[in-house]
Amino acid sequence: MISLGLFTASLAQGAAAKKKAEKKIDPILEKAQKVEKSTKEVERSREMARSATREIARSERNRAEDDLQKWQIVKKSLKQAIAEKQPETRLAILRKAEKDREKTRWDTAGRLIADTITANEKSNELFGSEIDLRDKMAATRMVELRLLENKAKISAKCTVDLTLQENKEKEAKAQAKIADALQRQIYALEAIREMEIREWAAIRKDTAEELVEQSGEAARIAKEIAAVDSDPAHKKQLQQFIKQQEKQKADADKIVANAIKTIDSAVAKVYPLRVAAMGGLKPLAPNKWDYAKARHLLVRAGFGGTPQEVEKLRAMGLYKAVDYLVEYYRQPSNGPSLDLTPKLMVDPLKGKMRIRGKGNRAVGLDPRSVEANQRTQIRRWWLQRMVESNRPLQEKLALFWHGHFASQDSVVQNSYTMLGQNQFFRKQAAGNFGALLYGIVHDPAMIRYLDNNKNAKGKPNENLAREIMELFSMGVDQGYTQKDIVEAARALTGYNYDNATGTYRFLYNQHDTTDKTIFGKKGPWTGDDLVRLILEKPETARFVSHKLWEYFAYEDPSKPTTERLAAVLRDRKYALEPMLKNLFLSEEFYSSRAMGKQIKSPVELMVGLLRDLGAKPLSSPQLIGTPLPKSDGMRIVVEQPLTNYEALDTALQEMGMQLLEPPDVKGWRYGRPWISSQRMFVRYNAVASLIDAVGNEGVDVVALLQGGGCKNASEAVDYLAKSFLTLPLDAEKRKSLITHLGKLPPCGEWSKQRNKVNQKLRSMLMLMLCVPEHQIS
Amino acid sequence: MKIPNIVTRREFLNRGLGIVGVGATLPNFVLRTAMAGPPAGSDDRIVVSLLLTGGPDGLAVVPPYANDEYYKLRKVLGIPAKDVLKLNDEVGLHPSLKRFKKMHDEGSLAVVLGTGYPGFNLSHFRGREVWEAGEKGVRTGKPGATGWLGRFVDYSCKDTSPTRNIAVGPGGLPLGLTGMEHPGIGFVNPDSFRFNGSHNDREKTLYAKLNQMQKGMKKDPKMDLQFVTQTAVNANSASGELGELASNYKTPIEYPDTQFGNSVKTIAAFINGGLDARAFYAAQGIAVFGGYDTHADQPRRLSQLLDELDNTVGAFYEDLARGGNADRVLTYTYSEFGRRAAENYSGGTDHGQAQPMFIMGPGVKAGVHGTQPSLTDLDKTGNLKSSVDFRNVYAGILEKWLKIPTEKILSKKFPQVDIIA
Repeated sequence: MISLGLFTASLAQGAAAKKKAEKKIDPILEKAQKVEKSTKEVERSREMARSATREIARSERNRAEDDLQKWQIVKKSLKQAIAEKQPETRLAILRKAEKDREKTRWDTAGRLIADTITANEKSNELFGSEIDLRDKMAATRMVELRLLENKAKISAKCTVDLTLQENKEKEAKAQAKIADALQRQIYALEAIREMEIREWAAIRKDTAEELVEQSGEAARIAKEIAAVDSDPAHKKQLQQFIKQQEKQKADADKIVANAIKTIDSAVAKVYPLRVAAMGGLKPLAPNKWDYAKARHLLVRAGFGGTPQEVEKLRAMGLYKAVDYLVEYYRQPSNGPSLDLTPKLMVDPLKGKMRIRGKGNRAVGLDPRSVEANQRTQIRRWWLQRMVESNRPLQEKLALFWHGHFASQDSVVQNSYTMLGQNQFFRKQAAGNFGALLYGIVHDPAMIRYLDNNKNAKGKPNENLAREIMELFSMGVDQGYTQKDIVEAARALTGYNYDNATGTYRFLYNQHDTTDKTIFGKKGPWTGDDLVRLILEKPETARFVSHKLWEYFAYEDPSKPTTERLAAVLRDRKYALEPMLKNLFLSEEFYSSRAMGKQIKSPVELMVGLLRDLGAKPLSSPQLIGTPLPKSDGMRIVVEQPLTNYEALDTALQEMGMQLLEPPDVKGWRYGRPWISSQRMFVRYNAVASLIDAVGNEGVDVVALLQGGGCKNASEAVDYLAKSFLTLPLDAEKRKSLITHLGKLPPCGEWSKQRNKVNQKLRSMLMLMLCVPEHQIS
Repeated sequence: MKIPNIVTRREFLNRGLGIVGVGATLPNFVLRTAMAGPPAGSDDRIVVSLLLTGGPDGLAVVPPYANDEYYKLRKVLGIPAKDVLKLNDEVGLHPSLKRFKKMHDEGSLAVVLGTGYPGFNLSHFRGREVWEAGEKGVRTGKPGATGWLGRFVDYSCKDTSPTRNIAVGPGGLPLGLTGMEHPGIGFVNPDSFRFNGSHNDREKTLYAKLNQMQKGMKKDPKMDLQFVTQTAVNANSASGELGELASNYKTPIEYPDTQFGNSVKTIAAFINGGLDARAFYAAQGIAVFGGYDTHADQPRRLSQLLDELDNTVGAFYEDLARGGNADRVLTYTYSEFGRRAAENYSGGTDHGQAQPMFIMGPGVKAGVHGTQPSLTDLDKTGNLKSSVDFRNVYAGILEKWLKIPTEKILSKKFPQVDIIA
């Protein structure tokens, strides 16, 4: 509708044609209003009928329970009578019980039959009105759709008229825009229609489920009565009733099953329509979902996993699998606690860790070494989280934001604030980009890193202002000028932090309160305003979408791909979750351009390997860090590799990806820059030593294979290739690995000869992972 | 005296074959070279590029001490005229650059003032890419992206020897050194420049086999798998030789014991060891808190960095002279941009335009080249206006030092700055 308004405003010449056409619309509009009115009425009566049914059902159940209780009392009296030794007392009890029984039985049965029949009638009535109402609602939607289509035709005609008079190209563009907007409106309406169908089906399902319960309950009680009633006439009557109830239940069951089908089909239709309405990326057809795609999703939206974990995702289906990963907050948060760090230092969470702090000196520690130790502990802690977290996407996104809003701890020199920043990225990982940008101009580590603590009134420092536009939001030379940077720097004056507490502090007397002109808008802007102004720029959603797409899918996406993703981000006011869902559901994410085409970053390589191995947290938690890493030349000596995050940390550093230490404010460069001849060796060596050294003896490959049910050398090679490699090994490489493995004892013997078999398998696995194919996923 | 290198090559060949046991794993050029005796063209000229990370302050590195305007712009940071190591009546060197001054006086250091390019970019990353690619719009790490030294190696070396272009030090391969046929090698130290995973010959043999170019793989450098495989092949074939040259290197010359000092020392080891490399790269300041990006606390940080630079380059040329190789090595410095003319209020300077370039080696025409940009005629953001396109300096190196027509390497012919003797 927005585009229609925009369009008609510019149409002076087309106005007459439009008026004429609009006349035709009026009767349709009237009709639409009428239908809507009657729809509302029916809706109201349906609500009333429904609540009445519910009420009856509820009171009926209460009464039935009441009766059951009475019946229990009778039973109790009978037991009492049997236990009673005195014949006269026993007789008295029995007589009373007999009386109670008679009364209870008929009360219950009679009422049950009457009430159930009433309820059934009501339900049937309800079903009838529902169908009627649904038809009416659908009619309304159809009228609305037709209205829109007519409007579209009129607009298109006006456009054509104009096109004759004016610049063709310009008008064709406008026309395309209008057509696109209208098409999206139609998608939105279709989505609404599908949602309504789903709603109705849900109501029907609810009602029918109640009926199922009610009939079941009635039949059950009737059976119980029949079991103790000896009168054949009663029995016959009850049997009939039971039969009737069972049929009723079966019918209701069928209604429930049909409703579920309708709901599922509507749900499947709604998402693609809603995305189309937002202008987002086209989702993959759910029937295209398979093992390879499930693995692709788990590797990219997480760090990978075992074949069993992949299979679990595959079985969920596309939509549920994406929800499972993206709505990670539904999984309980786990992972190591920082309390496990050696108690050599002050607790980082207490905020007493400062390089120049007196606190540490007072307890006889060299602040510099404490600080260095501290930051190492944080790095290892984070690595362990990546390996163990049951919310892998949260950690992967935290890593993304750390590279996006990059700060180096070697410059910040305050691991406490770096940890705070890290927790902030984790908290907002799939939250809102606006919140992230807002948080970062108030982030002590970032303020320190980009010198904003030196940015004061009359002495502006441009560092933060420049990077916030160039690297954090809009992209280099996109939508801003050098002048905007100078002005933005003034807006950010006084955004400072308190060194004593490591928290944000606004220094009013250092803040420049005069007017600034940013992106052509003049006002006494603050840093908070600057964030708002940046979020208003169309470049921002585009840049962020582009970068997220490159991180998760592939480099250099086409303009429409970025633009569609950006549309979802804008539509949802920078909320990241819907955009991430759109990304991971999209057909393009599972295209041949994306699958198996990403060079693994060092973290993806190493954490991915541990995840593929199924590394689990140890049952007895141990210290994350131990004294200085032992290093034998380049070979890392790993003692307890699944907890030795120290060795992992060192290896990552040599591969060019030390956490908390991106190379500069631009963060890590992904893709080919990870690979150089030097780094090939570092990558291979780290992987090889990990395979050798997991557990004290190395990876227990026998255990891995037993999960896969392998029986011989070629099955073992194939299963391990499936577990660890995305790219296929060519036939020759596969053959030479099988030959290298040689003949294995029969699989029944593997457990007995575990060490010997493991040694052979480990040698093969090590070589299988030190190949170019393992560098790409 | 040149160190004879044939021994090294034979050793390499023997050892290499011994290790892998499969002739096919070694690229043909190694076999060819070893069988042909001493490598041809060991007198080939070499270019060493040194990145001064962060954008050094040109007005502090080469102060225009005779100009009063300088001290008006630099009330706090101006280098007092009495401390400047004077090169001529107008400009001189920062007091830390004592060995640079000596090299200048001995005829092996040239400085080109005011280098830059039209439509300059003040982003660290874009700036560096422009300088290394020799043009705008090339992005590091994108398939097909090359740098000017990479293209020089491609043009001059019609083989696929992996050791023609080498970056030494952490930080990976720079765009500047990347070629199409010669992706280049990034070398940190000998211990980490070999595969340590194999325990026995069987594993070694299979490792080599699994890391060969796949048969029937289409030659497509844009394909990541081929790129990774090629890198692995190159690494494996160069591992023995580079490791040996670097770890066996002995020199009486003292280098600063820093990452940068050691990187440049390793370059000397490769050159004096007779390696066939034609282009090298090392970066200063990568791991030193933003390097020359002195938005604050400039005097202390700049002196430290210039001390390190001065002593490293000084030692490098002494060392090369000792090996008889100084004459064939030309070294130049560059950065992503210069700094703003006026100082800021944090005791530092902000990103700006125009920087002095140093070109060093016995082959240069010593002295001051180019013109000092005006200190009063600034652009509207307060930046110096560059007076020399940096590609004119590249053109001088290409045409006179390397004897290559500029247009073969850069997008077109550029005028030359006359910096080669």
